[in-house]
Order: sequence, then C-alpha cells, then structure tokens
Amino acid sequence: MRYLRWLALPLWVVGLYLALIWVPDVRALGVSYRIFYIHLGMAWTALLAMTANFVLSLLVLVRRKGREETDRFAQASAEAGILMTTATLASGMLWARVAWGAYWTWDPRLTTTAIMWFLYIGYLLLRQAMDDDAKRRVYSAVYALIIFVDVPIVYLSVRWWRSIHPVVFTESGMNITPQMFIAVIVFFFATLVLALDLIYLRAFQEKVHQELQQRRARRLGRLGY
Amino acid sequence: MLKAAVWLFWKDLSLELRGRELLLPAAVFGLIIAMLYGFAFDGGQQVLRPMFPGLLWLGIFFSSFLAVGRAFGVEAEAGQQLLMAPIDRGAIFLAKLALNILLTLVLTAVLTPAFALLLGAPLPHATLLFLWTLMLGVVGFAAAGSAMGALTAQTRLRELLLPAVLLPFTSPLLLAAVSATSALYGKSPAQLGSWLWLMAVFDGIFILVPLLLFEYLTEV
Repeated sequence: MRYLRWLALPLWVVGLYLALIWVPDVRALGVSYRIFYIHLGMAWTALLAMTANFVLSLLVLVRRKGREETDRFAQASAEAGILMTTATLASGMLWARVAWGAYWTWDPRLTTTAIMWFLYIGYLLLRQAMDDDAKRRVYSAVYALIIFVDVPIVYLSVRWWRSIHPVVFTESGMNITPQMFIAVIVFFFATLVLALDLIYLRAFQEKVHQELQQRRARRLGRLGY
Repeated sequence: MLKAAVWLFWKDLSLELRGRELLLPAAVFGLIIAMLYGFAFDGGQQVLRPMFPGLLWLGIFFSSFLAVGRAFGVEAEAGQQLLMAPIDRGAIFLAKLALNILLTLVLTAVLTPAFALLLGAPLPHATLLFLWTLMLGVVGFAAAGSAMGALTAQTRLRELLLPAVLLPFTSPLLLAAVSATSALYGKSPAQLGSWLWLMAVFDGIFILVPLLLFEYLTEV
C-alpha cells in the first residue's frame, strides 16, 4: 500500500493532461466545463469514501477483533470523504458561477452534498470531543450508521421540494463522447488512488499517535504521576 | 425492557412536573423567537403571513431543541448512575424518547397558537391534517433529538455539539414539515400526501434504528 502514492502522481498528471488538453471543448459550455472531470471524479470518490466509512463502522460494531484498526480506517475514510466533498463543492460552485451565473443554487445534488458535508463534519467533531477511546469507537460508529441512513432521505426530500418550484436550471445534457469517458475514468481513478493513499496515511498516523500516547501514559505512570 | 422504560419515563416526568426545568425555558424561548421574527423581518404581518409555515417550524425546532438536548444532559450531569443500572440501553432510549415526544408536543401546542397570533396568520382549515402534520414533525424531531442527544451526552462539548449534528440531520424533516404546512395553506396541495409519508418514514426509521443500535452502547 505504501506504493500507492507513486501511482497517484502519474495518474494525476495523465488525468490533468486528458481533462485540460486532450479532450476537445464542448461548444455550448466552452473551456469552463473542463472542471467537470475533476468534479465528477472527486464526487464519486467522496461517495465511495462515505460508503467505506459506513461499512467500517458496521464492522466496528459487529466484530470485536481488530476493532481499533477498523476504527482508525473508519475515521480516515471519513476524513478523506470530507476532503473530497469539500473539493467537489468548491469545484462545483466555481463551475456554477460560470455556467449558471450563481455560486449557489438549491439544486438537489448540491444541497444534499452540503448537508452530507455537515453531517460528516459532525462525525469528526463527535470523535474529537470524546476522551474515552473505547467509547469514541462505538459511539462514533453508531453515529456514522445513523447519518448514512439519513443521506438518501435528505436527497429525496430536496428533490421533491425542488420539483414543486419552477426548475430554473436544467442539467445541461452533456453527451459523453468516448474521449470524454476515458478522461472521466482516468480522473476517477486518480482521485480514488489519492484518497486510498490518504486513508492509509491517516490511519497509520493515528496508530502512531495512539501508540505514543500509550507509551507516554505508561512512562508517566512509572514516574509516579 | 418496556417496564424499565415506563419507570424511567415516570421518573423523568415527575422530575419535570416538580421542577419544570425543561418546558418553561423552552416555551419562553419559543415566544421570544416569535417576537424576534417581528423585529428581524420588519414589515408587519403582511410580510410575515406568507412565511408562517417556515417561521412556525423553525420556532418549534429551535425551542424543542432546548428541551430535547437536556433530556440526556441531566443524566450525564448526574454522573452516569443511570448508565450503570442493569437495564437495557434501549429502555433508556425509549423512556427519553417518550419524554421528548411529550415535551415537544406540549411545546408545539403552546407555540402554534401563539405564533399564529403574533404573526397574524390564521391556522389552516383542515384541522385534523394540520394536527397530524404537527405530530409527525414533532415526533421525528424528538426521535432524532433523542438519538443524537444520547450520542453527544458523553462528550465534552455536549451543548455545542448537539446543534451541529442535530440540525443538519433533521433538515429533511424540516423541509417536509414546512412543505406539508404550506400545502395545507393551498400551496401545491397535491404534494401533501408525499410530505406526510416522508415524515412518517423519517419517524419510523429514526425510532427503530437507534433502538437497534443502542444495544452496542451498553458494551462501553
């Protein structure tokens, strides 16, 4: 897994080349649409990372063996997911400014993504505010399962809500050419590999951090504190 | 499990009846919100009346929030004796849920006429449907609030953390409740059924899922 980062870099270089130079302009949208490749890859990766967080949280609850390790990966994938969601929102807003004329619209996907972002920020806040390690693992896993169930409900509600109002901005029907499809896939893998690399890195960091804390506690104990 | 839940509920209810520590401040807070709407959206009742569904539900959510947040807070402050008791954690959740539902229903019963009065909006004609909408919204908020309240009660930042997790979490419920209420006032009434269903599904899911998952909280 340590070699992942050596794969992420060339994938990003190739992906950027494909997205920014190789793929031709779309007539109606001009050059601005090229951010779409980055945007889409990150959005998919974000959803995958949140799903990974859900599965890992479920494992934390039902499997005692290796619970600490599973929990570290659950946290790391939530962090990677938030990073990718942030990037998705940011790139989407930039594009919306050019294409739709406003940074923010109450489009169902946009709104759901923003709510999801808040819910997972809450996950990290919850973890941070719990001192007891064993409690943090179980409580944050329960929280992760509950919010994962909430996300589809959010999406459904926002979609119904929007369908009542006049639809101001329709999805511009982007016909994906084979060339565009290749660029989308390459970029998706580039972001996916980057996210995996970050997840491993963060999980490892947490492990070291926890070990250090344990050692420090033991040492202080020996010194009689 | 049910017996323990009933006893716990009774304990909390008698505490509340003696002290009125949750309901009274929450109700006062709700009334203050209604006053503040008047200041914030200057322009009198002509401006406020069309916004009534949204303003009402924000008022209900924010003031219920105070009551719901305290339900587990009192246990955490009491030093977790309750959590050491040899009873199912599901029973604790059920008892707190029942208390929260009762408190928020009472709050809503007080605030809804008061909001209508202050914001100058007549209540919808379809009284039964309106009551049903209020109930579905309030029960869902109480359920989500009980789940999130239990999860955040063990943290250092209890009061700060709860709004950050509960309010985005209940956003579909708010959306459904406001839309259903608007529908009762004649704004796309055909959608009313779907919104009520959405609220019912939300209520059902977030009563059941925490009940199932709270088993795991007993381990730690």
